[in-house]
Amino acid sequence: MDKLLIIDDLWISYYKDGKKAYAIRGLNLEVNYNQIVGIVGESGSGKSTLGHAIVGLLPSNSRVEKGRILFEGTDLTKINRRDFYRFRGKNAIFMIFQDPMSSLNPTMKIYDQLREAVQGKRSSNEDFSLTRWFLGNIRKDIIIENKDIIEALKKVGFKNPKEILVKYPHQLSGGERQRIMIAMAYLLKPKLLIADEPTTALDVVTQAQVLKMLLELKDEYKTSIIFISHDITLVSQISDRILVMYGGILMEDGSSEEILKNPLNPYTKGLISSLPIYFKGEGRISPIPGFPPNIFNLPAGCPFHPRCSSNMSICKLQMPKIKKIGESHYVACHLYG
Amino acid sequence: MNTSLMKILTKNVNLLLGTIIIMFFIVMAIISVINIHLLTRYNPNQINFSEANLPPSILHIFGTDQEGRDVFSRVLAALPIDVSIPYIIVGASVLIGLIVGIISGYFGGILDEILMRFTDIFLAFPGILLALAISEILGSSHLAYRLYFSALALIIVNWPVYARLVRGQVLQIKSMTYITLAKVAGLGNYQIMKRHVLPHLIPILLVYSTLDMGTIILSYSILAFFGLGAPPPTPELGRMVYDGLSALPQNWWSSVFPALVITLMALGYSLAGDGLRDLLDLRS
Repeated sequence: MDKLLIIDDLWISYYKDGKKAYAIRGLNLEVNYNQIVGIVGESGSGKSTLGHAIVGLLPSNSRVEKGRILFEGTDLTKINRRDFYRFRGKNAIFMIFQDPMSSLNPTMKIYDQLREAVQGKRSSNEDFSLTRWFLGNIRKDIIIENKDIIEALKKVGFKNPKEILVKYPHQLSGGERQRIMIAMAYLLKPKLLIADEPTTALDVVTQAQVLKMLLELKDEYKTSIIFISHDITLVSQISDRILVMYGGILMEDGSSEEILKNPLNPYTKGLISSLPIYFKGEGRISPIPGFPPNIFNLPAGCPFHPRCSSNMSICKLQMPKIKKIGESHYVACHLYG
Repeated sequence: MNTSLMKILTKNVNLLLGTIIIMFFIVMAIISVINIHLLTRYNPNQINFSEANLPPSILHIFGTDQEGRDVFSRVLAALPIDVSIPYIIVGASVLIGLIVGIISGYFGGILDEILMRFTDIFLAFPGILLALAISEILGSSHLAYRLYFSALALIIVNWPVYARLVRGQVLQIKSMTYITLAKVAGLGNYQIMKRHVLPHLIPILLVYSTLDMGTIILSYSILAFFGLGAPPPTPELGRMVYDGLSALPQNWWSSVFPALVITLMALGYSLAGDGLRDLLDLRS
């Protein structure tokens, strides 16, 4: 297996008031071992849905219509909910979330939460036992030492980890809590970490720290990371590869350098030129006109055509197919081919 | 004694007063079980017609009833049942409500639908009437155990309220990110319920069940008033109120004092519940 994760023609739908809408339409994605993939898009582009689909936590009103999610060769869309825990947590897939304020249980001390994250995992093919049912299935083979927890806290920049361990989440700041989450990832050593906008609620200095820690995590444990964000500069700082999503489809896929220096899709161009550091013209920064579409009311053809500056007649009729443009650079747009 | 506990109690007058009243009745009940003659020299069941209908005096603090029994000693003898039965009723209701509520709220779907419609059936009846009917049907053939059937009736009437309360809370907790995180970390449903859901339910259950204790004391007294409590001659506060009714208004003491004790006990739990609610800050 040379790829950690292969997503093949994935379609995910939502149901609301009897109506059906697609949040992801025909997505293809490959993640290598030891690679950071950034996913960029506005709200409603399907990037968070993708993250939740990989860990098997789609909301109850949505489902995978078509396609496969292969994690080390196992199709995760075929795994039922009760067996999914084998693919989460230690040595598997872990996810950290946008809001560090509600990611930690306010009634538990940091020590208990870190310990539980590692030890609480059920072991596979265990028969039901009443004692285990009461005591909550402590896994004997992965009992962690306190020094591991302290080590992990030191790695995420806590100067005095022993004081942090006995604190409750409300005694920590947002940045500290997000670092606790990354410490959890250090303890779990997942093969794939999905970071769903982990820096959105943080200030710029803390954002940089968090990015640095994620890079260290990748270097130390060869963890692949899917970094989901709406901020293309942030993503480009950390990712080897960037995927741009819009309206549930993949607009552009390429190495970070390629995407930033030579964006091809008008949407990617728009995203980049609306950032101050990449804005080359004079006067006011030009944002992309209009609003991101509602997935229950997507335009026909290319979902971006109502807001696109190089709108052609074919854009209204046909969805663009993804085409290879250069060495590891793919784009879905009627302007190219 | 713990200084922070002292600080909490002196700041929170309701909680302090309520706790004192509750503790007072619990201690009296325990002493009365151990040896009632530590507190009174009369036998609560000793009929003595020569001393019938005596008003309150130094000899008989609460007076005597129509059969010449000392009302004070009868109140003391009634305390063990009237103090402990509400704990059994509320405890069992909370336990059943907690299990049903957590399962219903956590798993959702059809299971939730079935369980909640089932609680609706119970909630649709006026509680005390349903309890009267149940304890009359179940208890009429087992007079000696009638007391337990009345308690069972109140449990049947009371648990759906807790199931509803818990389900609502669980639905709210379920949407928190740390529940999702626990799932991502590979925890099972049982562990998530035990470690991440249950601790959040304790404050609201504590407050609600304390407030409910007062209501249950009154409800149980109503059942006892109608003769659905312990069989005579075992004294019971609710029944004593009924027995004294025919002597009103001249010989008021034989029903007013038991009624006052019921009121005071209910007041104690209400005050403590209010105090706990302020302390745990549930309204914000």
